[in-house]
Amino acid sequence: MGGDVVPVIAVRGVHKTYRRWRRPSERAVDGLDLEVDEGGVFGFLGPNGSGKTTTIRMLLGLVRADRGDLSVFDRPMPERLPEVIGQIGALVETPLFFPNFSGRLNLELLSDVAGLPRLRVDEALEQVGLADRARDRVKGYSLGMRQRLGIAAALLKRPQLLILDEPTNGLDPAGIREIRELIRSLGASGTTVFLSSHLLGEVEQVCDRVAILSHGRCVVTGSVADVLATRSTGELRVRVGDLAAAYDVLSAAGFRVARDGDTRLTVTAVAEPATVTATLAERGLYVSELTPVTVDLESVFLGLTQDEAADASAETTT
Amino acid sequence: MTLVRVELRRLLSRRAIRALWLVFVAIFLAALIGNYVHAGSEPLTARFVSDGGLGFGGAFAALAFIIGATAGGAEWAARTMEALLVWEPRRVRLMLAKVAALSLVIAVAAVVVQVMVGALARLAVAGRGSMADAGEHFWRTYTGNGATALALAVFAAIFGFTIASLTRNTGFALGAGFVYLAVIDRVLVLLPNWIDKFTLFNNVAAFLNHGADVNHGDPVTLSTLRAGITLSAYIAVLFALATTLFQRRDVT
Repeated sequence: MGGDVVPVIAVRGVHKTYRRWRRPSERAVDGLDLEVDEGGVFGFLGPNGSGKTTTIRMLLGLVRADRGDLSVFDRPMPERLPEVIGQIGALVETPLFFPNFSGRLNLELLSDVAGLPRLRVDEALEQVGLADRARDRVKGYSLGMRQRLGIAAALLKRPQLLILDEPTNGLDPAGIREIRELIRSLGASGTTVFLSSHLLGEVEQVCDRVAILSHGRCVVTGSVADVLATRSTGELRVRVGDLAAAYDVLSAAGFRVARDGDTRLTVTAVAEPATVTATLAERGLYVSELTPVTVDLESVFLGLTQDEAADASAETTT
Repeated sequence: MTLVRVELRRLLSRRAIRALWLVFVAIFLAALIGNYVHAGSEPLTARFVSDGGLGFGGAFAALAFIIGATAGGAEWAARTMEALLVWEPRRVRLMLAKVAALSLVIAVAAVVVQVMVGALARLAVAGRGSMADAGEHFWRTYTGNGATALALAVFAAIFGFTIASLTRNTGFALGAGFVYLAVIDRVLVLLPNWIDKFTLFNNVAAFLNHGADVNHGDPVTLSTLRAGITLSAYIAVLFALATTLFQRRDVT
């Protein structure tokens, strides 16, 4: 073998437009390219209507692409989905169960389809903390409990690829934390977790890599650090005893400086923070705080998706 | 086989189907008592037993249609079809498993109904009448009537299931069944004579009654075989259409 790493998920030039009777067509995915490597947690982000769920549905064979190629475990989808479906666990949007059946019965019916042992149902229920309520009817479950049951269903097969679409919907903070830990441990144990979520703080904490979608296209993809770097401003907060003197020294040295209240300065477009410290120290001014101003995933997300929206709007106007 | 077993369990666990059963048993008992009372003081004969199943065959077929429609539509109403497809993406296989499970449930239920009807009718005859006229053809007539009623019930269930699968809606299937019988079938009778041979109602009547004359215009006799073939053809076309659409349509 040549040692080429085959991505777990590969999406190339995929288009999908929903055509509905007596309603305008809706372009959901517009030339999407994406690759997800094996292992770890991959964040799949985008505003509402950006094509995330449609992409997930296409990967699971629920929706057919108009154009382009999708593959999972190097098998073209949906043609060869049956060969790999046993390795894929999925929770798509709201978990779907028969409301009058118990949580356990719903899971048993699914596990029987794949011929899994009953023990797996117990393990999955235990894993999501639902063992005590397993015999209750699903219609009596809270939204959070249904979500846990959906995650349990996705975990039943002990999948190598776990696709989770908004898994923390309806969960309380403790529940969100539990699921976050579960996702993290699954990713660390070799399962590839493909996680779509609106909770960017959560994504930033658990994901190794992310892709951001806007208007059905991928606007950025890479490791979380790389994606954050795309919006890094090289901004520093500097605290020093003599603020006025420090301002004069840095301005004279060619730095772009601004006052940040009465106690700090903000220096922007700094390639190397150490140059700020050195410049001030040469004049006997010693820094008591030097903090790089970091961008978070939320600001990167909003920045990128708003830029894309503006571009799309400009294209439409011209 | 595993899929059929799962579908059987799913079907038998549904409360709506259990409730329909209870309603049917209540109606069945009421009708049997009513029939017995209606017979007045006349002594009952073996025919009361052999023909009893036929009378309930039509009612049971109506119940089977409702069960079929709810079996096909409930998965779409609860959107569990989507969850199921993540476990079994081969849609044709899934559709066949569902129809096989439904047919099996309906067939077993039809046998139970026929045995119940036969036993109760036999009791009634024992109480007020005689089985003395039960000739050598009694069992053949009795089982023949039962088999006809069973086949009609299975036809009806698959009809309900395929219409609900086509429209992804139980209510639509039930409404379509009602509108067809109440309006469309009657309108069809007003059209040229040759259509009489193909209407659903005429074929069901011919199938259940071991042949029937279509009396509009030139009388034509529809045999049980011909009615069975016509009904089977309708079901095959509808099922093929439902399966093809299920295979091609997006599940959103």
